[in-house]
Amino acid sequence: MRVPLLTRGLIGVSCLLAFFTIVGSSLQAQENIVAFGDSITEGLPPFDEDRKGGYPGRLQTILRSSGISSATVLNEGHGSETTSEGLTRINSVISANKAADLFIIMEGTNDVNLVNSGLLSMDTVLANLEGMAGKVRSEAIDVLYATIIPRPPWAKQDSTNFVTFELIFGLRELTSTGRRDLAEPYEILENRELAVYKKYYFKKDPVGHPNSAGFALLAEHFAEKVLGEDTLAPVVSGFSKNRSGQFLANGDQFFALVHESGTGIAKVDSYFTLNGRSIDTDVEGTTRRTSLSYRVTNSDIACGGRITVRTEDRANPANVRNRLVAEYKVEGAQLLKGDVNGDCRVNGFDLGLLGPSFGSKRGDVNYSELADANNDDSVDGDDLAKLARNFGKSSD
Amino acid sequence: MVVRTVILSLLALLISDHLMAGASEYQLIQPTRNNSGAVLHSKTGRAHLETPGGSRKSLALRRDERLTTLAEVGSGWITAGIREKSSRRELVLMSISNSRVDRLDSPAGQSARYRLNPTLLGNDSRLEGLAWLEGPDIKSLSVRLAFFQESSWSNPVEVPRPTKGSQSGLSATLLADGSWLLVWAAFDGTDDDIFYSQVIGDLVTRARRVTANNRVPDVMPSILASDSGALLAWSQLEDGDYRIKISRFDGSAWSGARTHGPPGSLRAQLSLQDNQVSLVYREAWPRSWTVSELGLSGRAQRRANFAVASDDRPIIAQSSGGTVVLRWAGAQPSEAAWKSVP
Repeated sequence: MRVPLLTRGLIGVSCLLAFFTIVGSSLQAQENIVAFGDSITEGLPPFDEDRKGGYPGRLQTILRSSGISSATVLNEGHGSETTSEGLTRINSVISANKAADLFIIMEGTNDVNLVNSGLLSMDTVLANLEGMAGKVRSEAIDVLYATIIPRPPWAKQDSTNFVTFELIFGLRELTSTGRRDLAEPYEILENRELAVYKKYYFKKDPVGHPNSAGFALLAEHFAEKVLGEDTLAPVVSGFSKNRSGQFLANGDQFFALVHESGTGIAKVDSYFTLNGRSIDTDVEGTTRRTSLSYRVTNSDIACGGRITVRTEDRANPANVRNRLVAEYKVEGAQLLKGDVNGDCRVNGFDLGLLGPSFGSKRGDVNYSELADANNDDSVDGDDLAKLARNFGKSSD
Repeated sequence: MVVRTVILSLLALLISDHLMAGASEYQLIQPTRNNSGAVLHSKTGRAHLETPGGSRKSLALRRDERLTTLAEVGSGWITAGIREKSSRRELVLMSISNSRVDRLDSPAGQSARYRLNPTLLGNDSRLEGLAWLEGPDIKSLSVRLAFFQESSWSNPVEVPRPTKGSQSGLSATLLADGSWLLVWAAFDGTDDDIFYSQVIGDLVTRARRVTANNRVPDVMPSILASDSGALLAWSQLEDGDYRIKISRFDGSAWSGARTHGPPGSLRAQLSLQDNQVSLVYREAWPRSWTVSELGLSGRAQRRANFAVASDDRPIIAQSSGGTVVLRWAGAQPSEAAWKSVP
């Protein structure tokens, strides 16, 4: 059970929810939420094909069906708005909603275009978001920040999300201290896989609005935050290697930064893996912001370096993610398909590593990118066939 | 079902043009001075120039190119913009005359990933130079400039960053004495402040503050040569809302900032038409656009407000007698009466 970082009101609601669940009574708690943002919050048709009010309308439905029968989620999304503009509009929204328990603030997508053009700094965008939150808190209303959603590959600007991620990173840093809470729409949609974008984004929209399925996904995520549930593993916000270049060598150092906005990072269970095996990672920081580092030794070097960051939180059951962050070559060596542990041989050890992941898909706890030889987001017979084809072979 | 999908897709394309800034829609762009009536219609991958005579000159762009500025020089125009290639941003330059459109080389020596925010410096007869932002990432940009000499670019010159943080919102103008005045916002670790540098011949002065170290964001400056000096407009956070500020440069110093717009006034742009300095800006809420005519000191003389929610920046189509007409991309022009400012 996560410890909600939200609000006195939400803590109350969570306790009431738990109590009424136990005694089997209907829940009569009041929950007033204001969803503040731009067109992604506004959720107008045609993007919302089902016309259910974008994510705010769906969030209200979920909360009510979860027992908070009087929950209201007011849609205060306003298309094309930047944070500089939102900073002024929010004055009237606060004035009209002083009895609200919570403001969800998801804004900044339109600022990304300005930053991407060199017209505005991301520092100012973050200051604007802090300014909005400050105004809300001055009325004793709680704030849930939300990362903006990633841009799909067909977006007209920043389709690689290089600039968008600067904002995401800034928000994670901003909320990694103090009592601020953060929802992670970016993380739940960021996949770099076209199929995911096709599933959750409105077709061919050059801007990158969600479709009905996308709004539903956002609503589910916000509902979990409001209800104090945690189903998201700690997120990897950055990875670097001290020496540039594609080769892995003795003495190289890896660094990663991990953020968490839920139950907290389980530090002893968060580490690097190299070619499928966990390595003795230095872990420092808090349960909301942890840095990992590791120095490569000669014994780590074989045919290839496939590095993942395995993160785990303190939820029960724990949320785990094993994210591939880099692949390195070893000078003069070639990694065979099916060589899951990168030891220059395809043998039973690789089969042993593939086994636990067999049948998994990306997002499953047991999914392993290392075993996914054909990188199709699932570990299946094709990957096994690739391993079998090379079984017994060695790189040299 | 197919028909419904097609209709929804078309609607999406139309509506999305109005939902988010600068993503796909046409922007109307005019030269900020020396403007005889040309209008650049620009969006990512497509652009055309509407000439003063009313003809339309198509500009061939790649899918990842976007033009952002236009200058009128001699009998033609120069336009500049950005090419967004994956994680890299490069400058795009074009020369347009009545008879042809040519691509121009951009200044050599881009080693950093980003080149952004091109700003053209031209006088009545020719292009004098170009300033832009360049750096390895979006938080490490610095101001660069190059002189256009005998149809080619000089080696780029860097204006040393006055702060370690982001540099953004570059704007530049040619002063009457032939020097260049560059202004931009720089993050000093606490907030963005406005800085400036002058280019006198080959000498580039070190960046100095226009605004005090005031611990609130000062952003998105617009500079315009006027009389023997220049006027500067920008947005400053004041009591929780942005407001337009205006300051005058007399050739050596800046006047105290004068507050111009109401709370929530943003995206200031100065322009000169028929010897009249105008300021166009956005009002955040309720959404509208305002145009002001400014005196030499930067004081507003007349003002007109347009309750048009469009996010696209309008251009001034006409100002005569008691009315002013603004024009937005893809919409009918709007007319409003000037109101004197006491």
